[in-house]
Amino acid sequence: MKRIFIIFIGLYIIVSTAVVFIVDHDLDKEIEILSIQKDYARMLTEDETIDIPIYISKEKSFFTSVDNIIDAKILSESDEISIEIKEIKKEEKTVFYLDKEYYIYYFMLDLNSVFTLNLKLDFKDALLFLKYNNEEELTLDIGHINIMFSDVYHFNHIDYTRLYSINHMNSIVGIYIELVNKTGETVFINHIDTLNNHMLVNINDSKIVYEPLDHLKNIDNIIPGYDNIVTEFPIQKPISFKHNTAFFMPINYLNQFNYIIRFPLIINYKYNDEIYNYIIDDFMFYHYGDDLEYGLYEVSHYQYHY
Amino acid sequence: MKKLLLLVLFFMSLGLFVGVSAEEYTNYQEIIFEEDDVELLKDFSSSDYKKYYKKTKKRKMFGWRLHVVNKNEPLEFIAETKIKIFNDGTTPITYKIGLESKEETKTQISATGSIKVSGSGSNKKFKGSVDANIKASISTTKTQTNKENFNFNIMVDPLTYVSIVTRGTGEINNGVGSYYFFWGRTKKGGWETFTVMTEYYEIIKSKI
Repeated sequence: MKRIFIIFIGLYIIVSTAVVFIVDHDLDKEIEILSIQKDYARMLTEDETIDIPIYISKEKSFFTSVDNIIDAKILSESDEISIEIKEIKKEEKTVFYLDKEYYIYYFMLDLNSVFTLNLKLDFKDALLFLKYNNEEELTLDIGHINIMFSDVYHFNHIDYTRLYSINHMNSIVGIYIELVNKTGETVFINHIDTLNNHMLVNINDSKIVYEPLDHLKNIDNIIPGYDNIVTEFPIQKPISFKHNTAFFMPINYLNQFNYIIRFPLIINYKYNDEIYNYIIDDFMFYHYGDDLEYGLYEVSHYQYHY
Repeated sequence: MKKLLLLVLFFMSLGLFVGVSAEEYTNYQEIIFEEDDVELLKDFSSSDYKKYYKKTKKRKMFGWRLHVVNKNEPLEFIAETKIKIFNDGTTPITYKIGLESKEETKTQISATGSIKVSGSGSNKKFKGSVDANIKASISTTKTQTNKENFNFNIMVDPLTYVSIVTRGTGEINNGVGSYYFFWGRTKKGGWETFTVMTEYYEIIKSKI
């Protein structure tokens, strides 16, 4: 009886150890990956990269070694470009999403191979495609990517002396800009492009201001009754200025607020019957911490089993 | 035995008069609180300390007794000028500016009296058991930086300065604490946490 009992206990230990081992082994072989759908509006010079945050549940895996990547592309429904991953940078801290811990990696997208001065690229609902040397592939939703390749050169007709965003509830409601006219004659601003298709610096509703505005302000306190959300963008009508002038320019968003924090300002203007562009490089207007933490973006979830 | 205990308490009480450790935020150009009566630890007067220490006078056998003066008080600040570039040449120059938000700027701590700060960079904390006591008394909002590359090209005219100024929003917690050893107060000091929530950047170009 005693022998049977010992055999039974022994079998129990062996079976339960095997079950624990198998379950553990299986869990170890699952990697969860998150990507967020952000808006990237970037003016790229030759050596600049676009850094895409990817959240991975395992600290070390073949996904995060740049040497394992044999092919990389940005894809959209109609376009595709080959890129290189210049580097994969790991954040020191981790982030929790739905009670799971993720390591934050920045994939630095190098577009040098397609660099063409003044070329604009528009990838709506872009996908980042990565192929690894073990034949595994990863296709991640990364949002909208709008790029212009530029060297930020401009003519010496206009300039600015002060620039910042006016913010309310995590969004930019407008731009404060002190414009300088160096010509002594009237300059007409035709429109201002941010490269982003979901936002517009609406010069029609711009307002001359005589004192710098508080950087945290509800737009209703600047232009009473103003709504930043529109269902379609208004056609822009030129505004003119002859002397140095400070403007508040409201931002319009298509259908909903957009949490874009970094974008260029391409000021299209007319001087002496000629059209020019004055380019302000993509400036990070504000910064609030990790992108996933604030829940402002749509998150895509991928599971990888091996 | 009683004399020995008094001697120990006397030597331990010398710790009450040890100096101050401060952080970057204490040198910010301006900090404005939403509520008028909120103040920074460095602005506590001796009568403030006296008043607040009274709140920690209930004796205990061992350990810290804390009093929270300001809890999660929202604020706005103007920080340091992040970068200042001067073109002293005769032709416009395009500069490439690289900015990175530092993790250690996000949560900063200060202490006075015999409360000390240990560690460095983003690993700073209050020295000893008071750290856990403070964390249990307040709930600091967690923030995190990201390491996205931020390079910005700007053309600067001759004899012109470009500066990038940081403003922001955050919150502050501060208070005082007393440490008791066999019902005798052996240490006391002030503590403060400063958390940056959002940073806003501004470009200013100015002629000399």
